[in-house]
Amino acid sequence: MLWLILFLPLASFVLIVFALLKRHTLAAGISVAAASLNALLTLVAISHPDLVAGSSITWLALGGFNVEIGMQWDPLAQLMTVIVTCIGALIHIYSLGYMREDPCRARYFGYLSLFMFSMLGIVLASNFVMLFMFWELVGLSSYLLIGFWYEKPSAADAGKKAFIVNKIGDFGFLLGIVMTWCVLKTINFQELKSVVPAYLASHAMDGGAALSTIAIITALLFCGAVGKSAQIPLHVWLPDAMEGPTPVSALIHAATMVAAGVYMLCRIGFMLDYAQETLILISWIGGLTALMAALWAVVQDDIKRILAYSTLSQLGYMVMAVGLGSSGSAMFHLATHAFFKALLFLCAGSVIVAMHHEQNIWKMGGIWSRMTWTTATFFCGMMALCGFILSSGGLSKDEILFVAWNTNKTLFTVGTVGAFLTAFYMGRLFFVAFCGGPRGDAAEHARENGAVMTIPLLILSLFTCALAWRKGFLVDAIHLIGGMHEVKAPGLVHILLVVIPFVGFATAYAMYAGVGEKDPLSPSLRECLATKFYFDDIYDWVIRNIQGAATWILGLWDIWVVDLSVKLSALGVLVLGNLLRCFQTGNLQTYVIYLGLALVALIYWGIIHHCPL
Amino acid sequence: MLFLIIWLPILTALALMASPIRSARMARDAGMACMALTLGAALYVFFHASAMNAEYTFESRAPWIPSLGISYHIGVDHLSAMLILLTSLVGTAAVGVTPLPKENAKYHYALGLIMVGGMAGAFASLDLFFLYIFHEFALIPTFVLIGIWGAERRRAAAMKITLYLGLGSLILLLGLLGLVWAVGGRTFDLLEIKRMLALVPLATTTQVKLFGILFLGFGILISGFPFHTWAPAGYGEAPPLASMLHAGVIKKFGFYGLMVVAAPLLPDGFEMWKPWVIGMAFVNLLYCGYVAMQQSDLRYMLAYASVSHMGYAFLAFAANTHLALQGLALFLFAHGLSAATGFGIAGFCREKTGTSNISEMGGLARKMPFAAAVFTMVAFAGCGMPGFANFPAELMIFMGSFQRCPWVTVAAVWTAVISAVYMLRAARNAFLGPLPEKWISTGDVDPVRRAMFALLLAALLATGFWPRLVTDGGGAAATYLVQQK
Repeated sequence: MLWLILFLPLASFVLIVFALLKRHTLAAGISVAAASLNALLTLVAISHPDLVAGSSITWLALGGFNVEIGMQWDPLAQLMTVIVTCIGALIHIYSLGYMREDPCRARYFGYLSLFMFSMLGIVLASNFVMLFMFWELVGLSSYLLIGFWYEKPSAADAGKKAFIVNKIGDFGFLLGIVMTWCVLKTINFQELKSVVPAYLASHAMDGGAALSTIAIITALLFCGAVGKSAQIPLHVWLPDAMEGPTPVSALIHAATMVAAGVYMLCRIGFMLDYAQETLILISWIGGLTALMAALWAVVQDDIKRILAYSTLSQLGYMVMAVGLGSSGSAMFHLATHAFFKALLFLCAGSVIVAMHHEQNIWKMGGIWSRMTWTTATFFCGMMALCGFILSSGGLSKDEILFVAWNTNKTLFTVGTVGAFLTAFYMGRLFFVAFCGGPRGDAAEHARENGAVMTIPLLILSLFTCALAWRKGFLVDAIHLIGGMHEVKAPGLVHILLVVIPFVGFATAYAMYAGVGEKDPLSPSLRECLATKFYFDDIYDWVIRNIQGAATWILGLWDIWVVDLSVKLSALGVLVLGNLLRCFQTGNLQTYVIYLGLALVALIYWGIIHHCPL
Repeated sequence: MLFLIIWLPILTALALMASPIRSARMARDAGMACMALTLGAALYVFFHASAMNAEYTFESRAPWIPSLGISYHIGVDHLSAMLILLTSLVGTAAVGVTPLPKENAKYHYALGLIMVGGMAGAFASLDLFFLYIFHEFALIPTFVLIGIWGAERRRAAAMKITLYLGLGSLILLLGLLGLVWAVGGRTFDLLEIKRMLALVPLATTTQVKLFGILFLGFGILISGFPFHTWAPAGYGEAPPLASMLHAGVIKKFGFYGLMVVAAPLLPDGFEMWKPWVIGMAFVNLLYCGYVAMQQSDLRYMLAYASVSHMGYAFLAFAANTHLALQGLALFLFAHGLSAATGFGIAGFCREKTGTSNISEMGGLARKMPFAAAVFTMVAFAGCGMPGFANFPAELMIFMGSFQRCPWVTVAAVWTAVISAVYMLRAARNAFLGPLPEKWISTGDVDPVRRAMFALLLAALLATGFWPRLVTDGGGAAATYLVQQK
């Protein structure tokens, strides 16, 4: 069953890429059918655990190094599979509408299937190497989908940037995996659960050396999550990734792939428990990302970029939760976020299509009266993102902040400020783009899209609300994942967290309700935040000046120093060189004669000595 | 069978040269037909050798010059069967992919076939004399192909590659002769020398000297730093037939020699020279990787990439663990296929657009989607993407080397990032972006060449998805594990 779930999208990808690149409708149909069937199969697999048989095949087995392709079907994997397949299926359907006029949509659906395959591989992986393989494949499909409109230079650049930045994170991740195997002699998650304590026990006399080894390994593994989940300082690729088609942004760069880093951290939670230093690092990186990305989101004008920065920020919350030792609440937020963020992106996509691919919120306005369904569902997702009381996102974000309150008050403050900013920038987006009067023709003529796009929106908003009202099943799953303790926080903290989103939203209302075409935010503040604290500029500078200069020098060095000095030291054998030069007369006949002579000589020897060749 | 693989291409080449064929297409078709047969035989040999437990299969032996102890002794173990399969895969594709030469076509293809036969012979030889001679057989046509059918700077390139590799193989010859002389000078037979040395090893000082000479000779052939500059010049200017065969196959001979001759026969020498091998791995990986970033020409970039990636193999060789050596064997196979595909596609683009300067290309994916897809796959294979055989190979090398040489392994893992930078930059600038006016009428890859690229990529993907195709049979790499005191 699990094998079917995993390989169905691969089959769809192979079929489309090799046979159906010109048959767009058929390709789309196959891809959508595979994704929908996958969602159904997942639900069946969850409700009938007896149908799921654990099995694995040996992919490599050498010198004690065993890599298996095997499935892990624990609550963590189950929860993630449901998220991936359900959202995946809805976004496949939505794409039918969004991409209906694209001349290359067969390729698009093929890549989408490849992504589903890779993502499910990460989720189901039973060991580090299998996880890493699919981890890289998601990077590949993300590269292909961001650069889907490859004739647009910005899209082609963004894909490249995303892949390389991820690769830098994966450098640490792979080293961590290599070290895991070299130190602990296994890469299987189940085995590691008993091997790690045994290793620590057997090295208890080393005075903490074993503990710091585990800390180094987990810190290296965390590098992978920093890349994939776009945490500071490797966050720079995610905003650029918005160059891809909007359904891709919703599925890959909001709901599932970027959450894979958090998922991986939850997967290795049992190792993190032994590495306090790494946990502190993780929590701070997460907290800083949550806050900074929220700050940057305040001054964005592109509807997708606002959502992208909010994704960064929300991922920061999840990573922070992992760092605070509560994998459960991280997964809880991951689950709710996946639904409401996918919803928000799809709504944005719906607006973008209606506006003829205009993404600047300052050119929109008054959309609520023209696109009722989109606005209603957007509002629903926005409530959840801002963390209003009784919304799914509110529940999960509060959970994380309660944990922070109990473990690290500074991070609690950081998270609360982030929550205020979240409500503020979402309010800004809503009041500018959806309320007020239309700014321009496109906004005036915006019309609701067809059912193929609105129905996924409705279903997703249903999920978003249902997760809050009937959270029982989710909470059960989370409890099985563990790490969610009975969190207690004083009543004042509860009240504070209820009030914060309203304050943020009200501030946004006061500033942005009914504004014209100019951002009323003070220009100096705007400018300061728009620098994004110079991360991109510093990287560009380093790449251009340091790496550029270094490779330039090395390039010349190679020609003028290495090559020349080897040549000069070969002067001693110049005679020899002259000898060899005879071969190089430039005359074809001569060459052929040499060869012929050599061959004849060889064969002659053979005949003389009566050898069978 | 082995006989067929070695001599069919060579005899076909002779027949082709003697024949009155004038049409380039006919010459190519004859070459491809011959290679198809060879490939079939190589597949048979590979699967047969994998299934057998014997150390050497298809062994045959005939005295040649008995007074010197030279005999025509051939046979394959798992490693050489795999390399022979690689030779015929790359050979078939190279003959099919290379642009039809305007003149002297039959000589062009004949030289390619001689290279294939020579390499198969070198990998199959169990006699040091023939090991050397067959390799020369493959090497010399490379010079000729570059000198005659190369690009603008072919003269200088042919000159340089002839000097470097000629020197390298002379040093190698000296080393081999020294080795034969050191064991008494009565035999060139590899297995016999191995038996003799197992009983009475050479003195350590002799071993160090001999290993040094052999390492220098093989190192030049592999393009180890600082003797790598022939590679960009040679591959940059060579016609695809030569660059595909040389980068894909002939270069691998150096590692084959180190694994089969130098290290097992001279273990003490190997031990003393190990720091140098590790140093070479380090410099090749990082230095040549960064130099590759600087290249503006696609073929030069691929050449530096291939030099840089040789560092993985040096690392595995130095680490000398079962896992690393197994990784090395698979890596030679994977890198051979991906490098050949890369040079093939770069040559194709040059043929169609008249340039291989990356910044002059741009936007080609619209007009040649197949070529763009092939190059993208080469790029991802080059940065170790799972699915391609390069990934399991590199993974095994990392896992097997980390404990012996941790820092160089870190450098090797980082090399994947460097590779991603230059490979994706090239893909971006050559194939993506808006289509310039000048490429409006360029066409995509024709069906024959599509099939050839598909052959290479299918082999690369098949072993990538299921590396046990190669590693299960290649368990014999363990036999190359050098016993340390």
